[in-house]
Amino acid sequence: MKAVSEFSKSKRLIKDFKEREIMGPGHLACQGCGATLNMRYLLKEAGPNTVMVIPACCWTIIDGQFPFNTLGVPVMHTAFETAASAASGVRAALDRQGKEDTNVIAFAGDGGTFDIGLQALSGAAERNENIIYCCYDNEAYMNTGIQRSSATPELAWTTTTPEGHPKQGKKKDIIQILAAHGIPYAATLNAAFPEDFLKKVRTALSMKGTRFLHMISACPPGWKIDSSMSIKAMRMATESKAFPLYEVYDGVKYHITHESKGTPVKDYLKMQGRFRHLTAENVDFIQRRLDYQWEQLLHRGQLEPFNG
Amino acid sequence: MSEKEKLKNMDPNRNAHEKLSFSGISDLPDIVISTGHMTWNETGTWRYMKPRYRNLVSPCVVGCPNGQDVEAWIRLISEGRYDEALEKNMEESPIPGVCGRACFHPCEKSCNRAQFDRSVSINNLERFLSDHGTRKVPKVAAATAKSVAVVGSGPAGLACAYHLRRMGHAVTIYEAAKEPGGVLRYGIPDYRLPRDMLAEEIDVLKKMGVEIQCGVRVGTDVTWKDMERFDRVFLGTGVHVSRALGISGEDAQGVMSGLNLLKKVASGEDVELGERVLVIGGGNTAIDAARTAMRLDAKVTILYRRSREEMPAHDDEVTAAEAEGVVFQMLAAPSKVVTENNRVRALECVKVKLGQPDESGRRRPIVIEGSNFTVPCDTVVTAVGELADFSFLPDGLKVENGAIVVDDSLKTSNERYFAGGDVVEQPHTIVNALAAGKRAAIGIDCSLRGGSFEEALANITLATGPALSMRQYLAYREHKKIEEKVPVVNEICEYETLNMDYFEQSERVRKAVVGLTERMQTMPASAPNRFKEVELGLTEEQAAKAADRCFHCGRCIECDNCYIFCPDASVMPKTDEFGYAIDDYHCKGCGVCVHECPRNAMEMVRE
Ligand SMILES: Cc1cc2nc3c(=O)[nH]c(=O)nc-3n(C[C@H](O)[C@H](O)[C@H](O)COP(=O)(O)OP(=O)(O)OC[C@H]3O[C@@H](n4cnc5c(N)ncnc54)[C@H](O)[C@@H]3O)c2cc1C
Ligand SMILES: Cc1ncc(C[n+]2csc(CCOP(=O)(O)OP(=O)(O)O)c2C)c(N)n1
Ligand SMILES: [Mg+2]
Repeated sequence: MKAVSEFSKSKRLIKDFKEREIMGPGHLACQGCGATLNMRYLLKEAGPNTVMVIPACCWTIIDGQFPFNTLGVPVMHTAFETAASAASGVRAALDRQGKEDTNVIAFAGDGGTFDIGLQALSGAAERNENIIYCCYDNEAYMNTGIQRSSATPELAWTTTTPEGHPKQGKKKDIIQILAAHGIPYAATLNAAFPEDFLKKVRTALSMKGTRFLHMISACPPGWKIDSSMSIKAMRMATESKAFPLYEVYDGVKYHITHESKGTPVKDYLKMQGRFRHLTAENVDFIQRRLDYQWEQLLHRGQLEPFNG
Repeated sequence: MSEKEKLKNMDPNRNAHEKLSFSGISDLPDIVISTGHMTWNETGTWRYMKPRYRNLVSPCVVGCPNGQDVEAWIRLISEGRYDEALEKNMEESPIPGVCGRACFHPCEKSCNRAQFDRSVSINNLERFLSDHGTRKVPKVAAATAKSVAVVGSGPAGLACAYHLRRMGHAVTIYEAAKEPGGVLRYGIPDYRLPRDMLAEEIDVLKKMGVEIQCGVRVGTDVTWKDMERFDRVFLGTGVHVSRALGISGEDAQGVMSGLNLLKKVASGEDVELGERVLVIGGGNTAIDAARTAMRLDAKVTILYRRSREEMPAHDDEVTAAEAEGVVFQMLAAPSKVVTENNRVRALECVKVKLGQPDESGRRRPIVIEGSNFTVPCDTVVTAVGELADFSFLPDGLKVENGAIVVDDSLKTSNERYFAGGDVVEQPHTIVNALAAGKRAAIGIDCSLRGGSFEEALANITLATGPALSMRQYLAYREHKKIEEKVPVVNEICEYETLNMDYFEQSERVRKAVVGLTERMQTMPASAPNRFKEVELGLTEEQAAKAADRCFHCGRCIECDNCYIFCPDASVMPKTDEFGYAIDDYHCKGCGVCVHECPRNAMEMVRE
């Protein structure tokens, strides 16, 4: 008998990826859009029995104009601040029709999640609505021209935080906020790590209640990177601990899914025009902050869950 | 219909935007539901650069003087397709089993992985495929009515005969020795290169219809005039004269050359060495002679006039000799053979120190006056270099600096004669001899067909050369184009162009050797297995591991990165053939696929 080579097994990174393609081409995303990859991977796992709820954000546009829809599943476009509440409503309606197995997924930007949609999201999470809420985080209001959001990283340039007045304060820790609601599942996802990404989507799909997926989304025009560099940038975000990959079960049980390589954050910042103005001290400061946050995460990972 | 148009016609949505038009608000339904796909929207028009698949030449391929397509057969090994791997290897060489054991594997030096952790175990993998693949007799082209004589059956002669025969020429090998193989048969000892292995590989040539006449010395047993019945003659006669020490007492009984010792042992003759053997020299012959003497129950000391770093022998060999108990006496040179009744009693030596580097780059040994010392011994084995004996050559063949003068096609000053291997000026290694045999076969074929060798070279040189591809030559000479799965650009894939995000450091597979204790037990002359092969082949698991370490530089292996990372779902794995199709109508030209290709098998091109 011939030994099975690891190679033949691992040659195709993800074996059955192609059999389940739902999102089609022809959509209106910019070249190299990370948000688009997030949607593509998500839909691969979620499958056709899904209703997508999209508030005002880039994805309103990417999807295509009436009467077209690149997603191949029903989409409800809704107001900027209402993704979670609209999804709750869709869920209730479907449940009423006995379609409890249909996935209801809200897919919102960071502005629609961290800022204006936060109260609706908090409400849904507190009620533990049976929905999956995805936030694709491109770290600014990109659709309207790169305005700062509370997801914008510290000291980054945006049109509302121009050079000389970079964004003050750290990026809001949205996972902590959601974890504080005690929802069954909250996780960070990165399309540069497709296996980890798909696994987390599968985990979310296998559960009930409010599940929150936070996806980093490189935005070539907003981050001022070449369109070919978006996967590289996202990978560096995780390897430099700027966007660690982990999951939180029931708001308490932390599990780090990718050990960051500890790439200096300098390398991650250097490749992006939005950080061009940073001084060496700035970079050093960001590095120390990220190191601290990583330690914090490690500590959380070691805590035993509350066992009433 | 073009591939592009076909794709477009397959799309049921292609005219959707035309069918659905609304003249006013009253046309709209109460609840607007979008059901049409966006595929009608040809986002390909946004693009000004386009990705394309193209393979490059992996550095190992050119690192091998013989142009072995190393990456290709490693891939076949990792897929468990051992027979095809062997077949692939044999497109360029008749003796993978020999090379997998005794080749000095310069390919591993050029392996990109060497810049990352340690090079892929190419040499061990070559042995693996020769051990695990089933040998197939290569196709022989229709007879050409031309005939070639090959003089000498070392690696150069074997390669030349093999390739010429594949092209359909009639080939006769003349070999002076009893059995074919040259140094492979009578030089390199059995414990490094088992005879039956060699015989098996030579057997393939016989099955192809190469006639091998052993025990015939051309110039003596048959005349050069007899060679005139052949259209061309290839000289692969090697170098076999041991250089003399140039000291007194050298003719005494008990002084013998390393080549002679090896040849006698290889011929099954009894050799009486006595107890203490002194081997003089630091090259491969010295090491092989020393390790052979160990197996004949002697206590062996190697005397070398420089230090270990300067030894021309392959480092692995020196290490193995040390492990087996060979003693090294460095920085010493022989000055006189002390004899008694014309029999060796001892060797008088002088100590030496190293001065400035000489033309070879090695530091020049300087004798320390008055440092003489005497080493008692029973046999002195000389191995300080080999020279060619050209007295047998036909008249008028130009010879310079101890080598036959040849041109780029290995043609000598007589246009009917070609020469290659150790007889011409080139590194004295098996793989260089193989490369010469191949080059001469091409040179001979071109001259027989009246074709231009230069034009052939331009078509079959691998990247920067000088390695040539026989696979490409066989197609070229029949005016055929090889249909590659992925178009090839004839350039080397450099380490810096790989995307290292996709590779992790891993341990190089260690080749197994017969343990020292076992080796020592088999060593006494009485032991039946005393020349048992020392190195063991890789197991299948080890081979799979070793093959998995290959980066596959510049070659698409369908890893799917381009497909997975396409934001526009515009890269599609082909279902019925190798590789991917790019949807030109929708690819926006973002370049992510090209950047994320781990092995630089894609590039962006202007349209
Ligand atoms: C002891 C030793 C160990 C070596 N180990 C290695 C090694 O591990 N790896 C490596 O890469 N290289 C090694 N080499 C070098 C390598 O073997 C040679 O470079 C290679 O064999 C040269 O091949 P060739 O075909 O030119 O000549 P050879 O192998 O020398 O073959 C020439 C043949 O021509 C025959 N011949 C000569 N004159 C005539 C004639 N007039 N008529 C008919 N036949 C004739 C000879 O009998 C001989 O069989 C070693 C060399 C020696 C001496
Ligand atoms: C109530 C309201 N305020 C403002 C807008 C304008 N608007 C549309 S999209 C958008 C930005 C969305 O940013 P984000 O949620 O981060 O998504 P992105 O565009 O970055 O994908 C804004 C401000 C709106 N549609 N509704
Ligand atoms: Mg945003």
